Amino acid sequence: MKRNLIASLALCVAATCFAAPQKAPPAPVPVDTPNEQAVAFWVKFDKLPSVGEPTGLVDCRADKDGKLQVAFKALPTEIVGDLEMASLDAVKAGEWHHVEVNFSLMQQRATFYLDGKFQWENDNLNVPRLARRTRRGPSIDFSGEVRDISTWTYAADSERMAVACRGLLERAAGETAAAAAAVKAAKPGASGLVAWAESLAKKASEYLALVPEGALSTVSVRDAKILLRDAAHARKIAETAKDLKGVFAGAATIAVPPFSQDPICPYDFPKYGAVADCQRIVACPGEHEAASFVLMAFRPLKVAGVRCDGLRGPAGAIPGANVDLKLVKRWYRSGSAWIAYHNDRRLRVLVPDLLVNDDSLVYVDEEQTRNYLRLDYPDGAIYADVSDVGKNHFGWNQNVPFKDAETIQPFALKDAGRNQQLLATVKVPKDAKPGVYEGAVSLATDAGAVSFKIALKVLPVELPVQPTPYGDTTRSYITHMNSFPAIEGHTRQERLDYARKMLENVHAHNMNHTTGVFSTPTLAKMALEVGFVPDRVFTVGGPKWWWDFYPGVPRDQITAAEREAAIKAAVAAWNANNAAWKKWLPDWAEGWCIGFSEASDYGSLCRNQGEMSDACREAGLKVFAHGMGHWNSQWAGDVQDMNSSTLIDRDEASRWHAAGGEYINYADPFPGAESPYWYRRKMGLYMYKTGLDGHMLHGFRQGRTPWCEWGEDWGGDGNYRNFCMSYPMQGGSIFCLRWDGVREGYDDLRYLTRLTQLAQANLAAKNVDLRREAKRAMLWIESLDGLMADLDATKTGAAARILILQDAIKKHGGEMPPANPDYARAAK
Amino acid sequence: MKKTIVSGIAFACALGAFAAADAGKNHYDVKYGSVPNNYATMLRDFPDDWNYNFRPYGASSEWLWSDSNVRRAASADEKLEDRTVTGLRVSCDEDGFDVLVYCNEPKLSDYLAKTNAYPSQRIEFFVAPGDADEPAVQQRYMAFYGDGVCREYENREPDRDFRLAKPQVTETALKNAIVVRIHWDWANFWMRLPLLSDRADSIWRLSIIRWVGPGVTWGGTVHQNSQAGYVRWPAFTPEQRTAILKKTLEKAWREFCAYTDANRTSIGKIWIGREKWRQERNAADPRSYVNVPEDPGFRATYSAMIAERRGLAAGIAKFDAMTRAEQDAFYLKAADALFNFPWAAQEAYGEYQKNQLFDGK
Repeated sequence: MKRNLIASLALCVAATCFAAPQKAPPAPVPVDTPNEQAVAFWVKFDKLPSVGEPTGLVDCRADKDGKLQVAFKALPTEIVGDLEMASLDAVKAGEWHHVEVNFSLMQQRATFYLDGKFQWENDNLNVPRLARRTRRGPSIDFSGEVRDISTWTYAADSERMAVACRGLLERAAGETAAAAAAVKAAKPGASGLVAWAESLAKKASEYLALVPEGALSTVSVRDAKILLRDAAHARKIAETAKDLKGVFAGAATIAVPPFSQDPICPYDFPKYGAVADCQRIVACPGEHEAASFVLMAFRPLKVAGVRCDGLRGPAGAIPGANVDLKLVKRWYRSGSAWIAYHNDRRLRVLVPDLLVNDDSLVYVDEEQTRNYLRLDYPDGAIYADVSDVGKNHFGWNQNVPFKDAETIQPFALKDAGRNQQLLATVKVPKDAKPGVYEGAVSLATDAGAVSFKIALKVLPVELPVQPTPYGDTTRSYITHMNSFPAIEGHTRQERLDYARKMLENVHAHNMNHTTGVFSTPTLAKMALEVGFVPDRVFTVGGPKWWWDFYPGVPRDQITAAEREAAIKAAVAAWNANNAAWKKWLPDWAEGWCIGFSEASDYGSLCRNQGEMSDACREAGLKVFAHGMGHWNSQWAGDVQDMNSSTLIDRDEASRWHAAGGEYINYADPFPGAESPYWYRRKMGLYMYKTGLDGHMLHGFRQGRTPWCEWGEDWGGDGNYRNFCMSYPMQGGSIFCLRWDGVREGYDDLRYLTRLTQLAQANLAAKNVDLRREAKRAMLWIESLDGLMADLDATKTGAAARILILQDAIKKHGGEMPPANPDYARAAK
Repeated sequence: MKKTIVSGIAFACALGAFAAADAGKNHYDVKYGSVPNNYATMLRDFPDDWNYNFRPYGASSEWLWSDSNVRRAASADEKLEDRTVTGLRVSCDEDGFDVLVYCNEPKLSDYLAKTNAYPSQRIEFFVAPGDADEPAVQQRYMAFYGDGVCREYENREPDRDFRLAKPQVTETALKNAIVVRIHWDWANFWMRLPLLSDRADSIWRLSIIRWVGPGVTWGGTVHQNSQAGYVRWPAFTPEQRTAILKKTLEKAWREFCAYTDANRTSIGKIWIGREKWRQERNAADPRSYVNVPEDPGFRATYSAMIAERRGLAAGIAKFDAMTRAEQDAFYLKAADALFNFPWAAQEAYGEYQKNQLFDGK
């Protein structure tokens, strides 16, 4: 009875916390507030200085020289007073001019443009809250004319507010007409594409007709440029697609590299990639490899279903369950989004980031620049605004009913010209036979079926589970991450499922040395089953301070013999109390303690850390610390077994290697920036070729400001963005495109490691051809520029050379070393 | 009670100062013209071009720090006591753009006699195309530590759309000031030249932060790229446009020639033997190639890529005669083809090798 009651209660709690995905609630309507607004209007002053106000929405006057003063009225309670803006340019009496002003309390930003040209933007971030003003028309005493007053309930940007001159509209009409003709000529059979191009030309003509010669324009620069943009895209599709490959009735597919530095925003034409209906990828058994394409709509498009039924070939089949399909979700992040971890809280930048199954899980208002999370309560779903700076940060706990669907859901492209990037990640089974496997991602749209084929070549290559440092295949490359997340779940089974799912994901992303994966016997057992190799265990606690055994005794009076005795006692105590992890791991597992991180004085780094380090080493542990600049290498090279540095520096690496130590990086990159390419290159080829021994990624899930990056980070040590690679949801995480960039970077190194293993074993081969091929392989790796080598071409090049060398070894009786030597025993 | 009154008065004063109008973000109209080797003479020759609106670092910047007396004295290189006097001048020519930073150092003339340390300048500077409506994905951020030491803090990796910027930074000492020159070559920004902007006015972000005293800034704080000041590029004349585009193309051409002439990437220096025995051996025993031009299977493609680009030289030669629309179209095509040839070549070779993997070769 008691057990049933407990089970029922647990069920109720679980049911309360998460309901099955529901129909998305209506799009949220932001509160209409004067603190987010834009105003634009045509004005002509009869005389200077001007008399009266052209509109009641903002104060606007011209002085005797024609310089304008525009002001947003503050609430009377605001200390800073009205927000006053001054023009750089002068207006002339009797001439029409277009005034454009916007204000955003959220962004602490106000701008003033005149005739589309910059005039003023605030430097002082203490902007006032504004009073609501409703009178649109001019004041009674206004001397002049005002026309076409436009208002927005958000801070429309300068090109949205500015009006297109007739010259721009003529250009739009000309270019859209030319594009329509070119599209029809190039792809007459692509009726959807032709219709799109023709609709753009028609719209451009309509705009031109709205603005006869000499008339004041009412068409925004943004609207005119949208036509130019879309016409160029339509033309590019028509002129670059081979036959009609990739061109469908309602959309085109553009094959793109999954991890480039190009942020593909909703109306962009990808900079890299080409219109195509297929993509070829290459992988080894056990590897995860991604294909990606962008769907660009010719008209508003509904996609009712997306599926992949797996890949097939003469060698066998890879089931659909092994193909993970995801939508790349664009949402707003703070300034320096995409490229840096520093937080400019004023800006809101739309970036591709989240990998989701359900596009409606996160609602992004592209006018108001806000993000909303869908919370699925049992009595109905709501959208919660997580981008309101006034509400500061939003934490996370497992009871928040936020969870993605299990499989990819229908989605829509609301406008012609809008795109959606899809990612298809194939998990190649470990026992997959070499050969070509083919399949397709099929989309059922309301304009007909769309199919994007994937051709996968599985290579006859065993990749090592872990890469090794460049030139040294005797030890693993450090793939350290801080840290495995706290386990969530309301029942034991939920917690076990959560842990296993996370372990599988972290291991699939090559982060073998993540802190915490061996922290309990259950977790350690699971981690070993999943495939983690416990050659280095970060970060274990070390023995206590030996001088704590002499409380009250001045340290300078303790003798050497007493010190030694205390260290022995500290180690003994540690063995008794803190070495439990050694019981559930093999005896070759190496424990690593962290010393004095980010210290910069000799006393801390050498003297105190030295005492800590001696005790740790007596206990059989190794010691490392995170250090800035050169201090650790100059003062603590004998004290630490490794430095985790802010620098990527060849000389520093050499210095640590000279004394048998290791050298990794923890700050470049920090987690936070969205670009997957940055992680792939920096953590991969660049650090590898610079001679580093690995990297520590300083954040995995959630971080300090998970959703709202725009609040003040009280208590933080700087204006940093969220330090994470994934976001929490119930039962797991929403992962990001950049996380897959990490995986890819380390996969690149696994290929280079295998090539190095094969080559180094045959550099002195008896057979001359084999010897030369081995040398060529090493010379090729040596010639790779860590910063300028094309990463995709590098990986393909490594794969091709591995096959050639393997064949040469077999043919000429050379040595075939194991992919996973002694340091990766658990992987065997 | 007294404490309350005093603090109340202080608060009221602060309010009074606080409520002063925001003078707005710093902005500067860039001059067109070359900077001479003796660039410190610009202080004397163009005194009105200098902007001294550096503001206290970290403050809300509501206090505008500018004094015409200071400006005159600085241009005459008189000794100003306040070390924080800092000014800038921005100009451009066909080669690139220059930011000159005037750094007042009243103790410079006698620092040796008084055994003071030489006042090396510490300046951080940030530049990004576009105004704050645009994401700053093309930003450049670096720090100058004096004596020619300059560190770049690039956040982006080099690719077809981003080049690692290496400005030339020099300094020259006057009697009581140091003038720092930061020169960026247009080649660093070939894909985002300000004259190619299709906006009503062409604006870039610029921030200069001088670490003197508590710091002074021309545009916001570090990493806050939205607070950077604005520079407005001039309405380039047709001659100026042509000069900038053509010179940048010439740089692209030279880079392309240097790349295709290097030992490892030259089809002229690497020649392939066509002996029968060699071809039979390669067919029987496939091998890899360290250098792309060595691969006979790819050589035709590589040669064609080079030939296509060599054909652009004729267009560069007659660039002056093109119409503006022709110039813009040719520039975008040629600059991309030439500057990005290393990327294109690598990508093409990667595709070739991928095809080999698929074809089982």
